[in-house]
Amino acid sequence: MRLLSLRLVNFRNYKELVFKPKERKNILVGKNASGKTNILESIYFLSTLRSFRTAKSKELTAWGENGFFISAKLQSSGMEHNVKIFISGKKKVVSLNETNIKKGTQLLGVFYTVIFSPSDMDLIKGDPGLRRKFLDVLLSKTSNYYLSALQDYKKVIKQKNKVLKSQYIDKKLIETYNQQICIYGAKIIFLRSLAVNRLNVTAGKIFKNFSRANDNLMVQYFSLYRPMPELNECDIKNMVAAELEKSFFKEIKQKICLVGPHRDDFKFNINGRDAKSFSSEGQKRSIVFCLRLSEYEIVKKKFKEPPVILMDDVFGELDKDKKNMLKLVIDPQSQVFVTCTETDTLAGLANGAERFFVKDGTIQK
Amino acid sequence: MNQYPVSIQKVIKWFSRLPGIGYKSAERMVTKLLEMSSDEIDSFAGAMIEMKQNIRNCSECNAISDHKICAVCADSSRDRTIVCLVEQAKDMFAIERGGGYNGLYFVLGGKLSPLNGIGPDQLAFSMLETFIDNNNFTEIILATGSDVEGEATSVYTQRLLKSKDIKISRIAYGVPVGSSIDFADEMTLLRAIEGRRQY
Ligand SMILES: Nc1ncnc2c1ncn2[C@@H]1O[C@H](COP(=O)(O)OP(=O)(O)OP(=O)(O)O)[C@@H](O)[C@H]1O
Ligand SMILES: [Mg+2]
Ligand SMILES: [Zn+2]
Repeated sequence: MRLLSLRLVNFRNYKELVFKPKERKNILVGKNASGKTNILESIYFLSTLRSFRTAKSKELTAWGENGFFISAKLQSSGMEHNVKIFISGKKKVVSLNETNIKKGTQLLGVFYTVIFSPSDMDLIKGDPGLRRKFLDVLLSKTSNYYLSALQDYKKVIKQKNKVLKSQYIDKKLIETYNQQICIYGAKIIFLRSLAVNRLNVTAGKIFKNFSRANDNLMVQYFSLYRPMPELNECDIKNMVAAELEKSFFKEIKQKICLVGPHRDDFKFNINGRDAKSFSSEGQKRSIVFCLRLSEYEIVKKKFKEPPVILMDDVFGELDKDKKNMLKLVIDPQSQVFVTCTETDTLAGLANGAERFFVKDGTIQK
Repeated sequence: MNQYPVSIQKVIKWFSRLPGIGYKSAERMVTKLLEMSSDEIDSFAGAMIEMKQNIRNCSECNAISDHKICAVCADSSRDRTIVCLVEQAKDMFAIERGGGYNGLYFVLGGKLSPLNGIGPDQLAFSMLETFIDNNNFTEIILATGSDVEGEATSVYTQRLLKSKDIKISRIAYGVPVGSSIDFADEMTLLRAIEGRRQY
């Protein structure tokens, strides 16, 4: 997958910008607050129709304007695609090859970006919700089946929560939603367990190379409040059903859904110890790097072509060895966008890269 | 700015309240109305008043009807051993247009969605139970929608009627008739495969 050209209108601090990147490595150099991350944000937006920094698209509109426009020429599956996005207030128009599309699912496989950003540290330090979001983005951007199960599941949870909060509780209605939670929930847990397993294998391998001490990284999936092994969907369904039955009155008492994949989590272990509590900052940084690199590998395998890599500000924080390591693990096939300030040293990564200078909402070679 | 006379504005406003009608369409409709004779307008308005006065819910199956008992329930040639549960009367008319179904219907009046204030009490579930108790149905077909709420409505109904001596079935979802497989979207295809039947 490639970004061939990008045009922004009223996006963040860009009034009007045309950017033609190179096929492989692109380095965006500029002072703080010049607009480097904004560029990555717009490229990420093309692949997910959302930002990695904010849930509110409104914030993406340049101050004082009513809406923003992104258009891009992309290359994937041996074809060129034109994607246009216009967002103004609640209005959102997305077109693929001059045809308006209603659902994000129609963009599946057209463009995928893997973002490395300093906020990735939250994947280890932060709430389980952030880790679930990581899995949800990875899975729904590679499988419409997952996305549709997830959307259905979220609706059911909302309905059931509403019932649990009502004065008089209709038990049959709760049972009804429980039955749906079993069906959609099992699909979600099943696909997540496969995904975490693949992350575990790939991230483990990459981490071995990455860490000098030959440390062991394990990624472990937790669902229904226990480590969840890879089971078939039917067994998972029975487990969810049993758990729902056990917690039936507890849920009514606490007035909230307690059982199901909306409570999932996954954890990182280094040599058997929980990384959240015991690993150093440097180790945490390496873990999230490996996680993103595994995401990259999984997506590449799925679409049979490399996704686009976005790296925001990650170089100030890595030591020189790691930077050189990174050069080796980054797929030379992929298109990469890296941001850095002039003082950052990129070590081996800068080889063969095209530099672009970002200054106050403009980009120059 | 010069505007239409108030009496015209009023009618335009009324028309724009209808689904799918914006200001422009309402304006066109009013222009046409102005060309009609007084007699025509009288019978047009009269038809609306008559409709509202006569239309009620069938006391048996809850479908809309202009009699106490609807045309389907009153039709003695219908098969009274089977009933088809639908969300809205318009779903019933859709199945009727197909012409292949000869049983009775029951109209629930919507689908379960507590988030929108629609719980079991807002739908005609108790009337449904009475309807089933008063008839000799051997089978009920749950023909609610395939969305999450429609699905929940079916599951709820099935739980409600479990203890009754009646076979409960759910309509199948699948590939539109007359279209080739690769034309259907992938979720429809998956549903069709999940709901496959044996030859
Ligand atoms: N909606 C908006 N409209 C206009 N300008 C905005 C908007 N949102 C952010 N900005 C401006 O964009 C600039 C930040 O851009 P960006 O985050 O891309 O900086 P950066 O080059 O990545 O900086 P750093 O090196 O500090 O990470 C800031 O000056 C900010 O004020
Ligand atoms: Mg930045
Ligand atoms: Zn009737």
